[in-house]
Amino acid sequence: MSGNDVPTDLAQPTASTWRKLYAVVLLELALIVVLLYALARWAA
Amino acid sequence: MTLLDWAVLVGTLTFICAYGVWRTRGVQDVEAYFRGDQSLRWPTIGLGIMATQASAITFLSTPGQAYEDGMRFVQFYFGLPLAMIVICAVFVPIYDRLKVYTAYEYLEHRFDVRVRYLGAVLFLIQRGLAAGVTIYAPAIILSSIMGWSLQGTNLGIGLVVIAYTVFGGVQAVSQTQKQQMVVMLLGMVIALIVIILRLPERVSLAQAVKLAGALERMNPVGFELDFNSRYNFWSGIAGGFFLALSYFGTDQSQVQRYLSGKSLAEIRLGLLFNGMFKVPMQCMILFSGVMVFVFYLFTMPPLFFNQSVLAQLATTPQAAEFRDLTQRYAHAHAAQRAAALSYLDALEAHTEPEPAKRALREAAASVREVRKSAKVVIARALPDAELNDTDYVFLGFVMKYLPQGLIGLLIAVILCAAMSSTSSELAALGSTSTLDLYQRLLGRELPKERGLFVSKLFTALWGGVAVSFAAFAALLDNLIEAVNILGSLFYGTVLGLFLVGFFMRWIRATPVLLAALLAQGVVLMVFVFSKLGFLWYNVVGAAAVVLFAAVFQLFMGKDAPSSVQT
Repeated sequence: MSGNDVPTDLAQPTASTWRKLYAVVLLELALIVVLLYALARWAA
Repeated sequence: MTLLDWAVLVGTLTFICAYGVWRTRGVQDVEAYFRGDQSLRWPTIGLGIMATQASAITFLSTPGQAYEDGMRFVQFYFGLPLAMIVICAVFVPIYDRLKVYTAYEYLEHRFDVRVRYLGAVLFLIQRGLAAGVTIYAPAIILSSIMGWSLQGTNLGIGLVVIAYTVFGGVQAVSQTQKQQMVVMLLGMVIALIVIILRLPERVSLAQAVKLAGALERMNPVGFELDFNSRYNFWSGIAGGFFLALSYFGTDQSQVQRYLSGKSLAEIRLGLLFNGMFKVPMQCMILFSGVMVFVFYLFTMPPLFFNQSVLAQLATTPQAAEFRDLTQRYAHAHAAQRAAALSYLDALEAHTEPEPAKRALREAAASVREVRKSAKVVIARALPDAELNDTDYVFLGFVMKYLPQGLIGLLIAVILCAAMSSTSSELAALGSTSTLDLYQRLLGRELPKERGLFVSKLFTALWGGVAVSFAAFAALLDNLIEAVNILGSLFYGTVLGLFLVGFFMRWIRATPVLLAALLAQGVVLMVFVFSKLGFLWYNVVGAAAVVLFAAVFQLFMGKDAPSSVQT
């Protein structure tokens, strides 16, 4: 096995990493909604 | 179209199809045909998921919808990121553990074969019809604007997709979708930049947004709780969530995209990629439509956008009446243009903008009034003509105002979108027919070569059904809505089956089967007898299955045990 060969299992993100990723997706959605709402209020 | 446009169009499409066929040569068994070689990384999965959902209608109808109705359609997608998270956390690990080929295979593991048949048949009905619409929708618009034959365009799109999907199966679909999605994104970004650059010199981007806002086109978020309104924040979050959960979690055309992923982690990353980029992408497409609207405040648009209807109208006695209306339209548009400039002057001078805004709105109402009168005249002259011309707004603009080369690229975007979504649908229809129905009814696994032959045959047959349906379809109210409404009629029920399967482990096969049949009846009744916004059908269908299944289980007691606990 060469130095670059990492067993797949070790490369899998943990449950906590997934939870953080889910939180990022939710935060992005919230940010988009707030920005769109602010843009609409400014433009109206 | 010029020679340069044709070169861009033909070159792009030929490269993508040839690449797909070359990359998938030598597919020799059903496993590789339906699940690929399970080597796909997250960018390919994510782009494939986006390309499957983005049909040609997305690029034709959506900007037109924004032109007419503003950006509120974007709320339809607000539930999508939430659905991606639930699918990543709940659906995908189960599919991955059971190593299923189709989503409906899970239903047999959890309940019994009857529930699997029901899920598969509901999918085949709605997706089979939708595949016809995904070919027909761009064909009718392209044929009208480009002067191509409608049936020829239907056949052209259909045959190319059937050819590479039948030849290379899921791998061909995934490989071509990656390129197709890149072309689509690139094309739309360039188009948006060019549209903004084509605005009059004195109108800045900020002022263009202000003009759109004054005329109620910058309305992307509305918090009013109105159940009959098609798009608001609540219907987007709740209805959109259930629709996206059902579509991405249980529709084989999407499930097949990620089942061919290399690992659970790659699949989840691909789905989250879609969750992060879908809403911004739709914002961009809708904003393109809004900018076309602002452009047309300063350049007179056609009184009616579907030119083939106007050509027919010219031969009727109402032609003279329409010409008079065109003159009235020119006056109304000139007044609107002047009002728009006055509003900009007021903004620049930092004076009170309200009077100028009111005048602009009144001028816009006059323009709308003339357009309404024009539609009355068209309806009188041509009773069968489709009066909704919003699907023609964007492509009409592209053909008239975009530079050479870019027109070819935008037509390529539309054809890529048509082919990417149709190929996913055909591959999924083929796999569901072969694995969930034919092979299951046969009761044994098919030999390798025969299995591959049957799979290709079913894929080709569904291609034939889609092209035939496209040939006979009539133009519906608004094409993108028609596809979504059609999906929403069945998605809730199918989602309900899976939700009961995942979360209510005490419920067995017979109660859930009866509940699904009853729930489907309820959704169809709601569709026929109520004015409920269609996104809510997904909630009604899923909730009805869950509720009825619980009640039936309580009354029916024990049933055949599930074969696998999940």
